[in-house]
Amino acid sequence: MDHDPIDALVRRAQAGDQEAFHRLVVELQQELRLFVAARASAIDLVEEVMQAAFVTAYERLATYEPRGTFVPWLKGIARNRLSEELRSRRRFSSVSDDELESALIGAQLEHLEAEAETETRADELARMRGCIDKLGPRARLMLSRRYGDDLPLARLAQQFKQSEEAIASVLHRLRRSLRECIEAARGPAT
Amino acid sequence: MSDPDPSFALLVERLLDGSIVPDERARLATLVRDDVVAREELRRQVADSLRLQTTLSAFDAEDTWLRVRMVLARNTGSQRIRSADAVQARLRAASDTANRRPSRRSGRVSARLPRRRGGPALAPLVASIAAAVCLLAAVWLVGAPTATPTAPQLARLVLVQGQVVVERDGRSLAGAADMALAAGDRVRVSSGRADVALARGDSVQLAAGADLALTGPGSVRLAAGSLVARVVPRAAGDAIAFQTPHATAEILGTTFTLDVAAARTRLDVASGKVRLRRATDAAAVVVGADEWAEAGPGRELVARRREPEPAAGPAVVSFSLVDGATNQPVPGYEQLRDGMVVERRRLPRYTTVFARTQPETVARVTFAVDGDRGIPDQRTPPYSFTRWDGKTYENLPLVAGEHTLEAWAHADTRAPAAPGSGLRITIRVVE
Repeated sequence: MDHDPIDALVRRAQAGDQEAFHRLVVELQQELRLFVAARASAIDLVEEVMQAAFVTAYERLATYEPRGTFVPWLKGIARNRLSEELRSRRRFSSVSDDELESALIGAQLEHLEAEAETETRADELARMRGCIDKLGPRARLMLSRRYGDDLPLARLAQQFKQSEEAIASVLHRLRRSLRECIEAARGPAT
Repeated sequence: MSDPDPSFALLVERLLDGSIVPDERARLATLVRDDVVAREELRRQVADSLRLQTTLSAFDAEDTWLRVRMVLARNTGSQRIRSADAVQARLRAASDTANRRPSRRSGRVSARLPRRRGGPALAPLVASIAAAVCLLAAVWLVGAPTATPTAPQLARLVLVQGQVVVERDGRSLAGAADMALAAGDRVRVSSGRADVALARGDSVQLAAGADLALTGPGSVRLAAGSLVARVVPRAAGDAIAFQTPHATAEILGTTFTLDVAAARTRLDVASGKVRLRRATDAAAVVVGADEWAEAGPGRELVARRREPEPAAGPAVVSFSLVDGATNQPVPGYEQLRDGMVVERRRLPRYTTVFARTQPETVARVTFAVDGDRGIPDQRTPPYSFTRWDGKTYENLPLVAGEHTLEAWAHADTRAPAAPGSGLRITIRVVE
């Protein structure tokens, strides 16, 4: 009997049960999306890499040995795919003379390569939500408007009756403080 | 923690926002080229922003699966992957009627299939024969050689309800789930609806009366009718274009509704930004979240704020008890009323509750049973209190006693429920 419910689904998928793989995608997509988002340079890249990772995982499912490590295995696939995509985009940005894009992608690639191969961060989403919950109501509202409702900077400035520059500084600080909160929650090993 | 340089923070925010202009972009590029710390801070801010977007935005898990399934079907040509075709699903569901096993409960989002028609009294054999006839008819209508386009595949029909025809090379084909679509194909929805998955995860929901042509990669033309589109965010210069007789909507990642009438095209944006460019003179207006604009003779091309109209917004109007195996209302409980007594002995093995909304299709319906809101929301009708496991709707356990059923219709996938959009009733279940 599989004690790991993910491995139980994997075994069924390996036996040809497509519904089991469907459920794996539904169960794991948010965790994988967050994993890729923390290492990508644009949201379209996140979706592209995530989709490709699930496709590759399905195609290589037979090579996975169910030992409770499916999520790290899947993230490894996503990581490799992201690295390939970032390299490809960096080539394109240097050809198209987009200095900013090139610098940003270069920084993400360096970070990705310096990161431990075994990075898994199973509770990243819970940590993120926990850190957001610790923020004050106004800060949470601003993040919700910016990221949940997708409001542009100009509209945020109108709604919060502050200049765009002031809102930009607040958002900058909020993201930094969330990052520090998440890193603290991970503990000293990371 | 030191305060960020306000001008740097503003440039970063405009980059993240997509509103950065070329001069600012050049300034930011110079800054990060000369300052390693600034470059690392930019990288972290971008990653933090993407993480927040991922955490706080509404992503549909089922959309991810549809995209994965589409690629797998294309890569492998596997019949197993393609077997979610609605006709085949109906055949499976019908033949499973006689040999049903307990449903599985896991996952937050259900795989939804079109509501199956046909009464609960149908014997399994009759149902199987009827479904087999349906399958044969569909195969005959679609025709193996013409169902696969010769031109490169641009999209795929992922859901077909009602009468949907795909016009290809002068021939009319019956639309079916999982049908590949190529440049030049035209999808006409006479009744019901059709969902089309475009490349890169974009999706379009066509309402009855819609006439959509795939004009090329990154470009479609809506000749008539109405659609709701969800476009994943993308870089400037990589916009997808939705053309109509009156205008072109250039999309950089958003959710919006496009409605074409004889004299005008109306665009309603739920989230993100859309540039609406008038066909006659190429004048353009950017329409933001909660704004709308119209293009057409005599119409002023301006973005207008959409005023909340609680009375006219979507609402849940009734509940009905449904046999989860047949999708048919349970006799006597076609419309549940507040205070109604429900006899458990009259309930089928798989019982669920459907929420009917006004209009029939809304962006999202959320639920609560006895105050518990931990029920997956639903984005396509029928809006059920339990998930579809591929064969039946899961059973809603209604033990003896009082139960409160609540549901809310949402105008937008991300918007909270508006006042007046919900329905709450209490029923009493007796043995």
